[in-house]
Amino acid sequence: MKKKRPLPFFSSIQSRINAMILLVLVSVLCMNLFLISEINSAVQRIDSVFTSNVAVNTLSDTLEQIQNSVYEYLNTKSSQALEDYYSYEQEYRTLLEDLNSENVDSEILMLEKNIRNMSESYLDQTGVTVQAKRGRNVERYKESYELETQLYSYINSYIYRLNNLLFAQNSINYQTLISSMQVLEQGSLVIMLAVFVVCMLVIAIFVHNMIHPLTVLSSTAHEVAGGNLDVPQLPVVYEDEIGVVTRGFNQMLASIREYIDRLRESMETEAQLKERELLMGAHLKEAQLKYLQAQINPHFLFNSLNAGAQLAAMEDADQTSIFLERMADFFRYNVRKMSGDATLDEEIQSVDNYIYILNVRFAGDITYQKEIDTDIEGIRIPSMILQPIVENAVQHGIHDNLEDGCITLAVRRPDETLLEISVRDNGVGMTQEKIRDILEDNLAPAEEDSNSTGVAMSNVIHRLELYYNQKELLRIESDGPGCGTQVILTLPVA
Amino acid sequence: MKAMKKSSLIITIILIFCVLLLSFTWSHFQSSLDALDLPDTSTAESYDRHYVLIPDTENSILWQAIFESADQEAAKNSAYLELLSQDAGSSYTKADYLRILIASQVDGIILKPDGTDEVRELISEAVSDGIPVVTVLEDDSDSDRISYVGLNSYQLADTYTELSLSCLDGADGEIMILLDSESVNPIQSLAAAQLTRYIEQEKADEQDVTVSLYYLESSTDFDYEEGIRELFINRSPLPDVLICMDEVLTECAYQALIDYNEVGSTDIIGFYYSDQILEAIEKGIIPATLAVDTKEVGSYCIDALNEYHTLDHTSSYYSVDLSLITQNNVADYLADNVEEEE
Repeated sequence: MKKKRPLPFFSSIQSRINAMILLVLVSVLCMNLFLISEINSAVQRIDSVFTSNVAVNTLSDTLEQIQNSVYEYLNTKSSQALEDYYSYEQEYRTLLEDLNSENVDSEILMLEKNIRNMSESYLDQTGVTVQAKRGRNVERYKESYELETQLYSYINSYIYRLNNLLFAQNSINYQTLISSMQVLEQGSLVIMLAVFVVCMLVIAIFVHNMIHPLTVLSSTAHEVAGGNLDVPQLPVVYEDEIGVVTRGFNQMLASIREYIDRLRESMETEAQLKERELLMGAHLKEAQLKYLQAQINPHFLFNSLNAGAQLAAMEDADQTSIFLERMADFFRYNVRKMSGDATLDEEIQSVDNYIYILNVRFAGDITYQKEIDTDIEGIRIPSMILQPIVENAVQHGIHDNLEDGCITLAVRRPDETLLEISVRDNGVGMTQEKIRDILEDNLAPAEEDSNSTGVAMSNVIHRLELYYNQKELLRIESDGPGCGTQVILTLPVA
Repeated sequence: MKAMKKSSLIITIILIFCVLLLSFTWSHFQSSLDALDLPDTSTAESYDRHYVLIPDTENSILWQAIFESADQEAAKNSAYLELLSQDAGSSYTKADYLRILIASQVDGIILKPDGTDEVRELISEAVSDGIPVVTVLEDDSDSDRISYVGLNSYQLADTYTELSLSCLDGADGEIMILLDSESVNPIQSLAAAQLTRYIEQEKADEQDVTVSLYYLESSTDFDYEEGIRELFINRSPLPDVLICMDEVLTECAYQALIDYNEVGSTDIIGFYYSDQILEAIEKGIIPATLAVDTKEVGSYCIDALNEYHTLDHTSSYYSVDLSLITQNNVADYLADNVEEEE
């Protein structure tokens, strides 16, 4: 079995379905990745919007812790409070590093600078307070604490203002972000919709392209099943499985058509053969009927003739005996060979008998010559062919001048496959029209001779054609009236 | 095949549309993110010095005008001028602001002193901490301020005298000077004293002109308006001429004049101008107001601070020009105001 050639990778339905699903999934994935990345960056921005407020709040909290720890230390002189103070101070100084220290054209940044500078003054003041407390300089630390507290309130009010300014600015930013998020949301909706439409279109087109050849194939198959083989060849759109099936269907259809044509042809040939056989049978039957009509009982006749011949022999009338014997032979042959074929020799024998009978009848006037220059043994031809031709030559050719009439029967073989038999007379001859009429069987019934043995030329021609299944086997040649006639049979020899 | 081409075309068009939409959405989103106004030191213009102007009333046209001219001058000299905004809710006094600015270690302070000892001491403390202080419109010569930019009290008194007498037009009458009781402002006091003396000198011999001083409380907000109201209710008849040595005072007096239906019974001579005051002058309700050249005031303040920073000293007095707004030239100021608003 021939190994099937695999389809190219992208031709198979499976890989095309996979590719389509992959395409749809990848588009959806890309869209989602894009949306997620945009939302992420927006969320990060929203986070960062209020980061500044958070930082300022941390600053404020740390400042409060410093103030509380200084108060605690002044109040209790606890080492924990002092430790807290130093740690918060350090933390606060770190936070201050993030604040602006330059003179720049921005209200917020200048506020930061003021807070930073004030905070440094404040920290210096707290340092003085703590040192004075350590040195137990009561008056000094109380005075310093007062100054420090005043600064603390100033810084707080500045931080409060900074916070407000930042919040106002951040709120505007937040509004901008929210509105841009709305744009993103609407854009995303449109994009999702567009991707959905594209995916639907891709799927619809793909499915249509895949299913359409199948639909065409099934409707065509239905039509073929209904008996209509006259359908056009189906186009092969893709070299996929359906393409292979379609191609196979086309081939199958072509094969069926070819088979049916061949079947029809052979049936026609058979019918022709049968028709030929039937025709042959009909013509033989016709010839036989003619004989039966002519001689009511040939058996009785040639039995009587045989009895006559024997009687003549007993009476020593040899001529009569031979005559009667050849008469009996002639009729016996006619009766016996009415169906099928006979050897050429038998046919010639029949012609000899016929000429002998005629010569007896007309007192030996007819000159009969045989020119057989080939071996004729075993050659079979249809029976009752030569005698009717010779009879015609006598009846129509030399009938009016029997004394000078001459009939020549010639047999020769121009080559291995052909046998040529000619019957020539030197009688009245015939016109070309007459020859044509005879060959085309156009003679009026009156022209048929009532004296003949009954087998007409048309019968001979038809039987020859049916026997050899070939036309133009018989031709008639004459140079015109008075120039004699020659009938030539050209027969194929197996 | 044709149908296939058509559908491919539709898909391609939709895909192109998607890509365009995607890029539009993306660019719009990114640009709106980039447009967020986050404070950034790298893009803002930076300056060498940081000056602060403490205004009397932040929103008045006078202080706004002074700030604008000073700001322009400061920008030219690589200095950032901050207009100290006074929150309506905060109860900080000038002294508080001075303390804040000293703690903030700014590079220069411009203010109109209120004449209190506390402010005077703080001005001196600031200067000793290396922060030069310029007084503007009012002076506190006892402090260590490096310079004063403002009017000359003699010139002021002279102009007021001239205007008052022209209002009386040779008739007898009373001239009342409205003064701030709290500030005990030397310039105002000096001007008032000189005004009294000048009127005595300048009036006609037979003319009987009395000059009185009316002190208004200004310890808290809204005191001016209450004081003026009191004056209009209690004083009958009203003085013939009311001299207001303050922009807010002028506005309050003008409003009271309308409220108590006293238009025509008294003439107000104002100080500086606002839309309302200019309108009143145009209508003839207020005969005249005095104006200082704010551009000069602003630029002199910055000049003084810069000079001090550069040379370590500066002229202790910058005199600015005084101009008079009357019905004749009020149209120019109204036009200027319209231009500024535009």
